Amino acid sequence: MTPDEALGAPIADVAAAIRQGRLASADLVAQCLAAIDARDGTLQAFVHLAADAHAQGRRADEAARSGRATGPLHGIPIAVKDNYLTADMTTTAGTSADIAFPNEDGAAITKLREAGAILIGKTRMHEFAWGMETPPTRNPVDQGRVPGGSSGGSGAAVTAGFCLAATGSDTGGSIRIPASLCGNVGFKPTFGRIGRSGIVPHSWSLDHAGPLTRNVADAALLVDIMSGHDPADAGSADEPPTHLVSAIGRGAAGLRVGVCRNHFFEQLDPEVEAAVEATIAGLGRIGVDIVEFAVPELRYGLGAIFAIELASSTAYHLPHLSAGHVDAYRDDVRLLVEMGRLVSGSDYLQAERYRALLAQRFQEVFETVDVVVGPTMPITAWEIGQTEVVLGDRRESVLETSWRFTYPWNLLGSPAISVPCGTDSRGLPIGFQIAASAFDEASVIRAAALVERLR
Amino acid sequence: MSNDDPTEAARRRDPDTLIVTERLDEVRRAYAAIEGQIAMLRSLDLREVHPAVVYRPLKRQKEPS
Repeated sequence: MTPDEALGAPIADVAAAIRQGRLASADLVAQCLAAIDARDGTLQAFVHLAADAHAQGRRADEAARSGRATGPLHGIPIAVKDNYLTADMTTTAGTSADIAFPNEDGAAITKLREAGAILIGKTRMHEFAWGMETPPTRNPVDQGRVPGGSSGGSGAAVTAGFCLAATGSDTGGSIRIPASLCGNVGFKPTFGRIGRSGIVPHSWSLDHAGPLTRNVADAALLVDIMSGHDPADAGSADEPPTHLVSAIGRGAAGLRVGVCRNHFFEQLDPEVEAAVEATIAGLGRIGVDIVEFAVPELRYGLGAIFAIELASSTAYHLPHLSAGHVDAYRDDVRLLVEMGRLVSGSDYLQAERYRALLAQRFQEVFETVDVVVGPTMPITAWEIGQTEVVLGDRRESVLETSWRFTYPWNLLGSPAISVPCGTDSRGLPIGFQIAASAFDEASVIRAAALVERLR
Repeated sequence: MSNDDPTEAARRRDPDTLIVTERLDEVRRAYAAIEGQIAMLRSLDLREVHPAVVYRPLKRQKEPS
């Protein structure tokens, strides 16, 4: 296997080739670093590259030659979002404020290293994961457009071939949005499925960890590796690691695919709508059962996620607010952190009560369907500097538009994935979102694999 | 602003919100759109629904010998 072939192959095949001596990890790392050298001056996906990336590759090859290579990610270059603490690389969480983060590995990073991954560098993120644009990173598909956020560096790095996969975090859509805009796969498993110790918090009850990958099989593999109980994370589920790779080939027969016609199909770009409807029709043709439904209570969701996210983020940043560090934050992030001081305690608890109600409604929904599908976002990648979009007869902020279809799954804590389902007339990727009941990641992966095969 | 005298900086902050006084109006204006969404949520009668936040008391780690 050549490094070029590896960049187009599933990770399981690439890792097998390295273990068997058919591909040198050092060559694969060199290929990624050459791509970074050639394009990242423009794309700016990375904030830090591992100084020992080449050496890590050589060590992986030595281990393979001596029969010590057993991990499922042996010799595979993985990029790390810069809110995951790492023992050997500085963490900034996207801020230039005078805040120091510890040099230590958390649960997910430890699992990736144990699996044999080469952590090639840290990717740029929207400051403190509080935004959808990740400046100054550019979208590899169209360099005049944003890559999304907050895991925008990871989304750009995966699409540009700078690594074989990357980590992300998702509080209102921050894995799925860059995946949708950059044309790759972004998977947020159930809240608590992947331990968050060693990930800089944004909003404790909404933050999810997960991967951005080139294909569905890699997303399943990465979650299988990263998942499992993390005693150092108060939100961690006491569940064993997943085994999602086995769900990929389960087929369409008997799969019940729900389509929620309110909220998730309102105010969207006609080209996005057409691609998503064509994908749903394609799923119908291969034998899934399509079930349409509505959940009127979704209309209260935006107020709820704002109340929870603003209040929680500001509680985390309170020492920085008191000390004046927030004055060094980006203007948009500083404003959000300050606004959180205006959310009342009763509004926060009303939001948490609403969340319980919404969970009951979707528990009823998941009695009749296995997955819920729709567009990941109402729009494709917008131009750098663009602040508004017109959809139908309404003009709204691109930031408000961007997370409208993703945040409900953060309120619910349900697993949700974005998988490419086509492009618009400008060639910009369109994402298809698939969600399922809590801890039913297997149905998400099963459906995502079907969508991937439709293309 | 990190180079400011901390005492001076503290004096410039609204004591209720900790927001720098001269920014308070701007922050309140920006919050107005979000406040509308939260007001709508406030109008929802949730009857007996308990918040998703639940406190779990911790047992002692070791039983007394």
